[in-house]
Amino acid sequence: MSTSGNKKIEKNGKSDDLPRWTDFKNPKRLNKAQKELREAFREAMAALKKEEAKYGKKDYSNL
Amino acid sequence: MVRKTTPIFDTSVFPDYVLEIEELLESSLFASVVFFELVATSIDNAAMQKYERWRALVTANKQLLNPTAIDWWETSKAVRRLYLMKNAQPSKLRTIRNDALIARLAVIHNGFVVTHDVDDFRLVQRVMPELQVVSAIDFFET
Repeated sequence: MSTSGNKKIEKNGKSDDLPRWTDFKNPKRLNKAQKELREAFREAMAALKKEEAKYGKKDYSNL
Repeated sequence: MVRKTTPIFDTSVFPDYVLEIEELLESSLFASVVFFELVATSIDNAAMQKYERWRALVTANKQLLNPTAIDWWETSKAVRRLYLMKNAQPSKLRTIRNDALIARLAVIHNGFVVTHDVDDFRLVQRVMPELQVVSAIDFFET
């Protein structure tokens, strides 16, 4: 299946076309719940970045 | 092969691709393991409160993936198989237990894992052959 220039996703030694984030983009018009979700996500990520700036990069490998 | 349809993000990708993931919020699923890792490593109360609000909305939107008893059981058997295969250091295997659970959730929910830690998920893939993994760089930057 492999052809040059195409991105691939590997699965058990085989490959398929690689999904890209633009394939999954949401519609431009958002309802109220979607807007609220985005705002909450944005704030959570801002808090994460702030903590990483303050305390260093998170390490999840030993949990 | 049936194409996996839903992105499921490993915790490692979040700080680096906030704007991109925001565009995918409604078409993605979120493993409770990710919230576990974020909360368990959070220090400031303010961050904790932000995670809580985000988790509540993800839950309300039915996008939160919680492992069932069977998921825990099958994941534990998969990690055991990795130990028995002896082709990875036990110390390495200890660090991929949460990844194995995220992988299991992705397989069960017809998703694929987007991660920075491709090598770790490749290891899990040896005992979970249905798992599909894509590196964050390939997913977001190509």
